[in-house]
Amino acid sequence: MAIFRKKIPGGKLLIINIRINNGKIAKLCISGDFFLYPERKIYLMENQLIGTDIKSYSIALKNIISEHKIKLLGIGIKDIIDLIKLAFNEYD
Amino acid sequence: MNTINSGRLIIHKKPQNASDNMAIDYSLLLNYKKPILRLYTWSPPAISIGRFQSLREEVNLEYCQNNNIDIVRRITGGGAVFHDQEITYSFFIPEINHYFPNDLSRSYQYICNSIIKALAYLNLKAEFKPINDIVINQKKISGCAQTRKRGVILQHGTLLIGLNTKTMFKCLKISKEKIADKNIVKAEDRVTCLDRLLKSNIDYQIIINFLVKGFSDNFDIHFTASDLNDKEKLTAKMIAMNIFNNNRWLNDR
Repeated sequence: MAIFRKKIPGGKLLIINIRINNGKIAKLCISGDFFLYPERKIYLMENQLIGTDIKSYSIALKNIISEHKIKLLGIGIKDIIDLIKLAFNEYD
Repeated sequence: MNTINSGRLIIHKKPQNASDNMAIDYSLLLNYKKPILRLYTWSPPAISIGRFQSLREEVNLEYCQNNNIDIVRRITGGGAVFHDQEITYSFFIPEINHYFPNDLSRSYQYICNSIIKALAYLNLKAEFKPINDIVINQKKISGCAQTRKRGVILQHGTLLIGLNTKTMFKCLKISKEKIADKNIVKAEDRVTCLDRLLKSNIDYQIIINFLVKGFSDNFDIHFTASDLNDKEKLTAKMIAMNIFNNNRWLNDR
């Protein structure tokens, strides 16, 4: 597992704890002092990204957020996408 | 002034521990019938972490355990908070109301305005600082966090009376960038409390009265003193046991 952190300017801290095996997300934990509604959807977000690769993860994330009407405060979808992208690049 | 709405005012006679405080909030949310303003204090001192925070990233577990400082994970997002010399408020109101649009940011701001009004009664000029802070001269005096369930908003937040920054910084892990001494001083400069601002012994009752007035004026609600009913007490007990005292919840991430 590797940890990536990003403090969003004017926002909150986003931390991802991620393991990538063979180019696919094997484990993911998203944490930080942000707000997300409904709160229980965090598990769905994390689980649905398991098995995605650098080409498919961001569309998977956008779909979950849109389908489940997930609202973020303090971080944005782009922040999560960028941080996971960084993880994929580091794992290469 | 026409008071067109009524609400419950729950003020505890004694401080409570972290799990009980959080369980009561959750119980009141699940059993919601009409607006509630709840004001409370904490004993022993405690750290509450946000719903999505990593326990190990945020808290010095060993220090807290060795110094009898409780640790609890909130149901609300946001950051890690050291609860000691403060009055905590919890406010319960429907998502759909005639005060503010159904918008997250606007709801935080509107509810926080109650605290700003309370501070104005103390001749303190406070401002809302997005996303969820209240500052006086750019120093944070109050933070808050919100959750929504079944169409009801719970927003709870702190109003700092006194502040033991030494203990606070021993309990909380500050990220590497902030760990140098000069930055600890800076971190301390970013917060303030009523003891420092009013330079006198604070009578908690006076602050409580102004907080009630702040919410009452901001929402045009007449609050009536109330206790938890039996159902609320039982729900709180179950929630304390199954959630807030549960290690799986605390170690969720």
